[in-house]
Amino acid sequence: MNASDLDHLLREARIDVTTHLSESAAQTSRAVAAHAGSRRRRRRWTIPVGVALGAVALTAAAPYVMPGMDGWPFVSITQGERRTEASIPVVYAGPDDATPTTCGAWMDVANATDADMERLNDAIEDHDWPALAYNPGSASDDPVFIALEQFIKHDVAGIGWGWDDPADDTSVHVTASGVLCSPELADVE
Amino acid sequence: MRAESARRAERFTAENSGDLLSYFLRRVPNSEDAADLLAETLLVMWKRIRDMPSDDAEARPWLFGVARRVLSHYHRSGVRRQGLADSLRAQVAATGQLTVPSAEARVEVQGLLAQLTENDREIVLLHAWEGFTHEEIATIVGMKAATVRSRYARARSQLVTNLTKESQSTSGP
Repeated sequence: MNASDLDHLLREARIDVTTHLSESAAQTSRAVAAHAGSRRRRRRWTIPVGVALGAVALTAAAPYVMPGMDGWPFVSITQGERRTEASIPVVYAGPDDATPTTCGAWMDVANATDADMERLNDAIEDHDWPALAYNPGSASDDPVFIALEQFIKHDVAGIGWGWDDPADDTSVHVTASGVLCSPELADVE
Repeated sequence: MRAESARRAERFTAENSGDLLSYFLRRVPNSEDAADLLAETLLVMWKRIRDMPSDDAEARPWLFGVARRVLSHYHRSGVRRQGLADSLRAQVAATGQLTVPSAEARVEVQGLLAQLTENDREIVLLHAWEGFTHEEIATIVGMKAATVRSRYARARSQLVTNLTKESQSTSGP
């Protein structure tokens, strides 16, 4: 028995993966990268009024402008996250302050169960929302963003505010918020 | 982090994820856990992305060092299921996706390696199974390269001696 025999024995006992499984691992890697990227860039998105109006005009009968939608075609949801269904009323005065438009605010939540989402949607519907005037500038100046933060932190137990950078990746927390403006939203309040 | 740096990290982790999965599969009793450990390692890596060496050759042992710490935590606390690993876990569980050694070979090697200390065992396996150099292993296990080199030589010598003894005892007088 010599060193060569030892090397042979160790090689014989080695587990290897197929090329297919290796590619699946790479796909998992890309999914993790996307997840990590979304956590690095806390999102606060806005559908510009013009774009939303155009899109809605093209798909006026489509269900996605109604509460209960699974997702918007405009803004993709990160894998593993879920979007709130209950609309939060927002008014956007427009860049010229001339034409107030009824808008809705939503949030994306990571690691949420069905029960978490039901509880959050119920809380949104039960909440007495103040008149929120959307400011598309920085988040710190946006009454909608500030109201959502206060709501999550003070009125919803067990769901974190992602911008506080939760240490635990498995915690239930808001990862993004957004506002969609369209005339149809006036009908869903 | 700049977009270019993020793209490079994404490419690098995708290129190395198969090897990382193999690393875990060779070291955990439940193969499905390897998928979760891979996802956990990558999540930790992205949290520490600023520490990742800019050179791929240096980043690889660094990444396996992260994997080793995740594995160490696994041995103490078990595995945390990762939703991101659901698909991979199912594929690992499917038959035909792994080249598995014979039970006889595994038992023989496990018995042999059990005679080494945990650190020496890992040094031997990182070289024999993962193909790392002594310098790279030093990065992974957090030792000096000279220490790894001497431990490796001592461990191999011990393994050969033990193999010889076993061979002589089984062949009989």
